Amino acid sequence: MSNDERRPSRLLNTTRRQAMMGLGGGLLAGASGLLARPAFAANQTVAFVPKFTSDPYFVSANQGAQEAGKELGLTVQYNGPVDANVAGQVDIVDRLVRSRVDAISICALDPTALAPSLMRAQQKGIKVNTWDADVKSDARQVFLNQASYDAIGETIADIMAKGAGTSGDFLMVTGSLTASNMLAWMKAIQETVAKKYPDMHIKTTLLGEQDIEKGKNVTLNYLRANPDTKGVFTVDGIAEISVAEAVKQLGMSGKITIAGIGVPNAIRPYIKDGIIKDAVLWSPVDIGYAALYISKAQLDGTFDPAKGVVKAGRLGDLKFTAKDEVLLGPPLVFNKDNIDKYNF
Amino acid sequence: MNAPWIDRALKRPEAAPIAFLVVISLLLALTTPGFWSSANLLNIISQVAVVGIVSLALNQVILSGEIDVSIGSLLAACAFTYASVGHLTIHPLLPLLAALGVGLGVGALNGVIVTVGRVPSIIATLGMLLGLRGVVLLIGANGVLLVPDGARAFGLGSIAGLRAPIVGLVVVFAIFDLINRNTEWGRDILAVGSNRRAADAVGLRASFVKFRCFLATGLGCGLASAIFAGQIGEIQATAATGFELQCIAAVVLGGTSITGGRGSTLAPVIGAVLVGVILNALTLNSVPGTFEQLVLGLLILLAISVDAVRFRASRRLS
Repeated sequence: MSNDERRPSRLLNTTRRQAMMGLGGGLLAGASGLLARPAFAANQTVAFVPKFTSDPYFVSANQGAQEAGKELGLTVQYNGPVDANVAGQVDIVDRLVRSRVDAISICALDPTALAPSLMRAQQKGIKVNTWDADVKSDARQVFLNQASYDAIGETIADIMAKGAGTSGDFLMVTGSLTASNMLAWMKAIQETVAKKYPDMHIKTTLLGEQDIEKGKNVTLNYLRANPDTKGVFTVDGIAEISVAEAVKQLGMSGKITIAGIGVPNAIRPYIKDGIIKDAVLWSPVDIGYAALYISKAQLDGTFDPAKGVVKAGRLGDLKFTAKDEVLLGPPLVFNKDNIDKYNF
Repeated sequence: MNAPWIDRALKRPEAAPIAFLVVISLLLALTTPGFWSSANLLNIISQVAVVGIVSLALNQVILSGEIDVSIGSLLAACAFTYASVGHLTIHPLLPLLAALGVGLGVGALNGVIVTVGRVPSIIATLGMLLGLRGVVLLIGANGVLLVPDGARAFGLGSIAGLRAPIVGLVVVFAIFDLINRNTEWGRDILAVGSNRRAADAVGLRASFVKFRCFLATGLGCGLASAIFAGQIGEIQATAATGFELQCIAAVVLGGTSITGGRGSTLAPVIGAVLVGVILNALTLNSVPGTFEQLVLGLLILLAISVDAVRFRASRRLS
């Protein structure tokens, strides 16, 4: 209990202190630009900061970052909180600023709490970009977006059409009716269906509440009563597991197509069983890889939205979707053939 | 004038909920295609088996005048234990024993804090609810824990043609019914729950009676976790969040008084099935998930009000 009580106040103090420093820092910004050390060509250090270090998703992202670091001759320092603790991430960024890394590439736990520290980093000449989860736009130079909602929605609808055909009755299962990312994916799926596959009828949207048991039960009940359903759209990784388990228990594998967001480690057994053919996500390895190429461009001074693209090694050219946002590329589709390449 | 057995049956605490369950089932049978099939009805009962088993144990605690809200986190902790030990595959019963051990240990701790430490049970078990969930999050926040196929028998298997979860629910009900009808412990619980001072005066050791009730919820969570893990196949660190409220709802909806001392062994089963039937009907009728909580909330308010009115009426009569 006492720990929990301490945490918010510490966070508050830190932000307040940093807000005051930010005031002074703003006045000095021009001067510090003049005083910034000339960038050393060799052996620059980029701090690659995940939400927390142990999550397999972020371990994979680091794998990509290290790969790019090797290609670019950059030292990549993987450093983040051990649990998803906002104050911990703020402390780590402050320490990185003091130790004078050359660039910070971060997946932020909180868009506002990290902003003062990152602004201070920029005032000291440290290049900052964000990936996966953004911060307020003045606290970084560019955000790397892993996949657009529209592209994900369209890919999911296409997988459904390939597996179940383009007409008949369908079900949608979502984890939440309020989370903004899921709402955006649902909208994108529905729009693609309406435009490309008008004979597909999504009869209803059931709520799985990101709880495997709940999602499994509602899907099982619905499919038992509506055995003519041709496929189920799943809008989050937990719904995908729930629906796959329901289809497995009903013995309807092969009769029902499942199309949606899936996380490889969680759906691996269902992919191997053939209950799920294809699942959609993005590659965290590629996110880490691309984030480091963006850091490199920032350090070299070649980062320029006017060019329209950023070079990113084996990923080719990444497009700008706004003057301060770069898109990683099309979503990644997992299936039996490639799932063993991914461990997150 | 009714025959005496009808009078007695009507006065039983679970009479109104059973009548409500029968009426609503008949209505659904007429209006909702797919509801009245043996597959769907068996489906409902196996889906409520986990809630039913833990509610049967929680019922004892509530009858004794206490409450245990730690069961949601305890079920998750037991399920994690069950699945982790299941990966060792030394003996098929070992995961169950480990889960029962965790349940028994936490139940005993709850019981000691409440009876020896004299901490109100709502506070003690609320602390346990948060603390245990914290432990589960620390261990399991990195993803989902797969339940190995060999360890899923309690959730997916069948015994003599009947699904294992249903058999489990019936057996646990039979055990508690036996205890409450035929043993001193069962009668002591009601005595302690309805009037603790009187129970003390006649020499009942109220603390020990209550302690055994907390052991029962621990064991109930341990056993139910084997079914739970088997049914879902992958366990998340947030699994069974809010489960404690489902169980309290089941006990109260079935006709056991939340203030203790009055109720029946059948109440939690009726309550759990009632919730299962309503959730099933909402899904079959494609009602958007948004309405679920509203419907369940209204149902609980209705049940509590009916209980209060009946209680006052019965007092006036006697």
